[in-house]
Amino acid sequence: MLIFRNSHFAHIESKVLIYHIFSVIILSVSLLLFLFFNHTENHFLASIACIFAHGIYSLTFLELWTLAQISYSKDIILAARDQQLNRQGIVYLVKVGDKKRKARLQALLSSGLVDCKKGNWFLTRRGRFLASFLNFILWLVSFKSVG
Amino acid sequence: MWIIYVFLALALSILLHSIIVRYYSSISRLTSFLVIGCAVCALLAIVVSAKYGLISFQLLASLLTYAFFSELYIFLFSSALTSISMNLLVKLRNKSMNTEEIEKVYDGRLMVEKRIIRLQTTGLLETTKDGGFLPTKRGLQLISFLEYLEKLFKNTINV
Repeated sequence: MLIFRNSHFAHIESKVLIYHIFSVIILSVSLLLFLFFNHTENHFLASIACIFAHGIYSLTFLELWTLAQISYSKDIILAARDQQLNRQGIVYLVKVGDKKRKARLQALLSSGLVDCKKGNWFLTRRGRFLASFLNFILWLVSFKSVG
Repeated sequence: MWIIYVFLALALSILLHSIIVRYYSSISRLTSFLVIGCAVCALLAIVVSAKYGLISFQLLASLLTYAFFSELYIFLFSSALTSISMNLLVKLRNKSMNTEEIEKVYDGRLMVEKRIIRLQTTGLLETTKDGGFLPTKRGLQLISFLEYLEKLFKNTINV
């Protein structure tokens, strides 16, 4: 990822995610080939450990990338640090929030999770499945207020 | 067999966390899960090492599998709370909305206010005498770390 950081590729969330998924697939296929020739229990367990270690690295990377690149809370702390979190500062942040909401709606539309017909936004089948799963997670952790 | 222990441990940590956050609703979801997750992880390590030995591939594989799924769970619930995309999905689950309705229920001002409250609760922002906000020492440390990461990732994104 450090090699790709100068390219446009490393600045789009979905492409960073695809890069990591691709990397896990390459690792898994390589380990499967390795296991084909060395199929002992310890080799199998070591391969599982490698795949999940890569998973931990990828997940940590994506979390840090999101936090550093597109986090709204980061923008708010930055505005506070630059002593701009007053009335005008909040107006600016509200505009940023509106812009983010529009961009995310478009991203959900292009990923096929939501659809829009005659100005009406609704979930697709895939979107409904994901939304139900997220709702279950929110129920598990008993979140009363999100946003 | 070790994988069964891993999934039992995961189920136990999620269940315990779910019960505890219902009893102590003001508790930090992240901190409480980290504490419960680490305690259950220690229990998992004891059980697996008792069965397969302290220096075994089963122990290594089970700890890494457990750590991965725990991190995934933390990622999911923190995203469900703060991610704009995931929030929009959850809000659209209840009913379909037109653009104006979405703007009303997911208003920019409300988004800022909720985040300011959350940042105050987590000790990253504090209120000044004139009603403004300033980052705390922890908030400044976090920003320095994020700015370092931004340089590492070469930020070019505005949205």
